[in-house]
Amino acid sequence: MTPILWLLPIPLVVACVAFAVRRSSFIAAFTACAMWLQAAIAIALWYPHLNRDAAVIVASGFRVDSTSALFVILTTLVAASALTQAVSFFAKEAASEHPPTPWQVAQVYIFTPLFLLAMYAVVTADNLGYLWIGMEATTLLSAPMVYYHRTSTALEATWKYLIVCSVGIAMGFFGTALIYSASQQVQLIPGGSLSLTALVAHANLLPVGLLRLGYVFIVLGYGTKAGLFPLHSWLPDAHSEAPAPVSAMLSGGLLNCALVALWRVGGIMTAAGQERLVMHTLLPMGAITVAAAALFLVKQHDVKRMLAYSSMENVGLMAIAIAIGSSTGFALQAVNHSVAKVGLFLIAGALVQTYGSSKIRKIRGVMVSQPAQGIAFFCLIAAVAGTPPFGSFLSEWQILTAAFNLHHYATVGVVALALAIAFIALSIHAIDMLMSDRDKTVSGPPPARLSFVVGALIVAALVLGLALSPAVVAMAGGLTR
Amino acid sequence: MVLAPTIEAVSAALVVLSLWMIGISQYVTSVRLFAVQSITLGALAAYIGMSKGEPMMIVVGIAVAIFKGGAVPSYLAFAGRKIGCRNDSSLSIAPPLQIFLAGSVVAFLSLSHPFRGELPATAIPCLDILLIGMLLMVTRRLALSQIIGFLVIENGIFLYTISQTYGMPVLVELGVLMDVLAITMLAGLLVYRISSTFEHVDVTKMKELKG
Repeated sequence: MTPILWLLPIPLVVACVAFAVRRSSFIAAFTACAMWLQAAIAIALWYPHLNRDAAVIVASGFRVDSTSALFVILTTLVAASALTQAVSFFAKEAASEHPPTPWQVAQVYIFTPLFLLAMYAVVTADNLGYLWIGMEATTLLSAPMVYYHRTSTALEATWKYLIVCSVGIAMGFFGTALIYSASQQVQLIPGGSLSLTALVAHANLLPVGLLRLGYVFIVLGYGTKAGLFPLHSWLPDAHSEAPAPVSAMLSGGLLNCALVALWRVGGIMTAAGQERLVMHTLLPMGAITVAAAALFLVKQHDVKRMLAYSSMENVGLMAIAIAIGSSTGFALQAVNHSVAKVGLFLIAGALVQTYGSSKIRKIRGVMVSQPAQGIAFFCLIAAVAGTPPFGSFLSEWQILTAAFNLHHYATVGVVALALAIAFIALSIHAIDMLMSDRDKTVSGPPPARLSFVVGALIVAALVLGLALSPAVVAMAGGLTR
Repeated sequence: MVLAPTIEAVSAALVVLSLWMIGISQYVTSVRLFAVQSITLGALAAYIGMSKGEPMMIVVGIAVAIFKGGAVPSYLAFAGRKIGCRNDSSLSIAPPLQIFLAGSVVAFLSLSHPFRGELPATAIPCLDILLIGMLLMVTRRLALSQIIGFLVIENGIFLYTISQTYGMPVLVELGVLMDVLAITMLAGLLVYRISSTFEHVDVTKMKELKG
């Protein structure tokens, strides 16, 4: 059996069990255990492929290569962390004033494993058509989870998510069709092909005009799904309305998938000698996305929307990495962002439950009443903002130096300024929630212990920073005299 | 060869149908016009499949005619009856003016042919339908009419795949069709929720989330 088929059984079993058994506490615990088993399988089977250069095509239309290996492992770990935290999240929801119905919770557990499978399909697809189908399936399978709270705002967010992403992705399909008709004009691909391998192999023979037009439509389509400005309007709404574990998966898993799609199509363009078009589309889009996200962060009043805009900022950085073809920058930034942001969404979910509101001004004095959560939140905010001991500092440094070496001074300037603004905005909002005096009239909630998952994610973010830091790398090579 | 003129004539008819859709505000009529458009498209796909000797394209054509031309419109008409929406009233641009605007865009595209280097002239009707679908999505206020706009965009893309590439791989075409059906289902359910939560289905009035 191929590594891809081994990924299928556990999510399917989990979805079936969640459908059959409606006892929330049982499904939650069962899913958490099953997901760590899935993570073990994913790491065991995919880790050897992490530094594989040539892609192996399996099951006609799917591929095993370093990109798919990295993102399969990362996405599985994101899902496992989020669903482990979900055990306590849904237990607290059930004890709250407006407990969700068992069916509402079961829906989340039915759709998350299927959503995970759709994300696997996107990152492992070797066929642009399958990639598109997987991408559309991620929208369809995550939309019901955005509607989890059944409120009018949840409805608005779900509607926006479904319509904006579907129309965006329809543009992506038009681009795919254009590239397919371009491939039909190549003698060596009889009848045309959507296979990435075939397209890259014969890229220099593809008619340039059609290819470029197709690429622009694909950037529009998958850029919508990645949340690139100005196509981002669904992103903060969906992230803030979904329950916290799902927001974590949207931010740490789904956004990466859309960027992987851009990375793959960018590969075709580079092989066709059109890397300038990739640069001229994604570089400005990425820089504007980072800048816009930083400005939105300044006037933020909702903690989950704040985290969503911070994800958008990171997406912009990854788009820049793709634009300049920096695979290290893209991979490192994706890993660092996912690790830190999943932890943040999970803590934010717990804080929102404790304080009964996601408004920043309602969440007060976290350091006093919830010291463990407060310190964790502080560490992870430092990690996503790109502060030195954490991994994202290195990946952001990597991307910016790579862009600087390619003489994109204006972009580097804009992005550096925007990152500074975002850092200040995030710190001010975090300090606002952590350090401010608690409202004495309201009896403070009892301090909660820090969950193991969040602690592990902080350690991971630190390890990513320390293990990869230039000093450590240099030391590993031995000291010279 | 009779195939090329047929494709061109049918494409032109499909563009006219889309223009007609943009000029009316009555919901039921636009659903019917969409049904006619999808059945025509399905028939065209089957016809191209027959003359090219590709059995899979005939299958795709029949599937499109049945699902997009039959099931989806009945579902949309049912949803419309259930929540009692009849008319897309008080549009920001009056429908006759919209026809005029859309017609000018269509005329501009076919006369000036801006993508001469990339696309053949026969691909222009697909772009027309795609743009008209976008215009439908932007101008309509009823949530259900927005779904129709999305489906018209999909029809434009499908016209491109059958007339320019003579069909994408059949698994991809069927997967896309399934996705479109699922979106329509889900969107219909959401519209039902919108009508019971907000007591209206005007998407321009859903503005709670911002910033």
